[in-house]
Amino acid sequence: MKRALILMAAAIPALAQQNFDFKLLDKLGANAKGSTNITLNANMLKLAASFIGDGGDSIKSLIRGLTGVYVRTYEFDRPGQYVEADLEPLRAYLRSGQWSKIVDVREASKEASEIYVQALPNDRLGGLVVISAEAREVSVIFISGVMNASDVAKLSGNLGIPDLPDLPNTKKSGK
Amino acid sequence: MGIDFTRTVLENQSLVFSLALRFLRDRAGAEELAQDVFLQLYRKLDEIETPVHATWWLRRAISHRCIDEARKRKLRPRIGLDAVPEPAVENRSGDPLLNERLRVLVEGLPANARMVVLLRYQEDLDPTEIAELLDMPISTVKSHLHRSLTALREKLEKKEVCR
Amino acid sequence: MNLENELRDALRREPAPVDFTAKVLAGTVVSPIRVLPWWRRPAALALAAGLILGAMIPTAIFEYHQREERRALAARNQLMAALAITRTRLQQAKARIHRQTRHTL
Repeated sequence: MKRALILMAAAIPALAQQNFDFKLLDKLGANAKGSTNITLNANMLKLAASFIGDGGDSIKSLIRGLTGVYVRTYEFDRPGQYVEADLEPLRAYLRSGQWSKIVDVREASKEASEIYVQALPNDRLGGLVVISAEAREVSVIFISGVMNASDVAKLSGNLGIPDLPDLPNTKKSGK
Repeated sequence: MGIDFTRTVLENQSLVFSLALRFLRDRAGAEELAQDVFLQLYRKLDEIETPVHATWWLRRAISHRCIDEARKRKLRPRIGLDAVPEPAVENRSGDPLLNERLRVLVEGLPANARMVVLLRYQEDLDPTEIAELLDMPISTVKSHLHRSLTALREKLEKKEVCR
Repeated sequence: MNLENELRDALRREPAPVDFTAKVLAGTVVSPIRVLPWWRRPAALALAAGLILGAMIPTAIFEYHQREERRALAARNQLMAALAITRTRLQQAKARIHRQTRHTL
């Protein structure tokens, strides 16, 4: 079964501007029966923050330094409707920048996850990319801007955002 | 005052989707129905007082919508262990084949009995709560449960495949 | 075999699709109210445009704020959906790591 799930997250403070062209992933969704497309630039994130009410302090803290949140998810009718090569523009972009691949797991069932970060001093991240590949679904998540690793971990409480896998230069926060 | 709709969706999406999926045995149909129920809730958000109220409202809405949908589709009992939607959840405990067989057999129950069984064994509601949700006398709920368990037990023991 | 326990196991909740929340929230976005420019109004109204202009300005401002509010709400909903999808994918990655670790050990 083919899997393709691409998750991209990129964030680089100051240097880390999101300059990946998501049009390069259009081929990935060419045969998709359904897709989810979320694009939030810095202005939209500020707008969104204004509507986060009480109890959303963790989220506000998380998005304070973000410059963009981009999600692309493609669903397919059956396996084999996308190819790994369609993800190469993204991987090439991540290889060329200051990204570290901190997770690269592939299972016998051919489901795969990759996580890239741009680690910064003082428990911060300059960006987060998640690529997830399954037989009938591909996901790419790209979060650009500066965020505290601890803020991302805290989200596992209120919104069910899980603890991240151990990141370089980070401490694991309690829930 | 009110409730946060997004949080309500996140906290209840499995409940609503799963009830619809187990009832209809149709993944796309279940997703569509579940989304519709949430949008129904969104339109009535000012009437919902607490998260508990929202969960109650959603259970009730999806239960009634599923039964209505079954009537519209005039669903017939599923037959045998033929192709069914792949479960998305990994690492289930128990016997996967038995689990699947049970799900098929539950789908073969009449609509009202099917929903009673789902509310009892997926949602762990007691007969009083089920009766309130489905606007059904408690005696009817208990009767559905008793008859359904008897029928399921008989079919499992006979290893019968309905055709 | 305890049938009731088996039923509880077989009928355990199935997770919703990963983009379920995003689709629901997308369905809540309301189309903005369209306000016709003054020059497209009927002639009779156009004749009175100068007289009612003073009353229109506050209305236009009000409608602008309403549109902005709807945009902000839609943006928030999209953000929550994006975070929910991120959470799910990270959970999946974690589960895959754990399975591999157990397998290796």
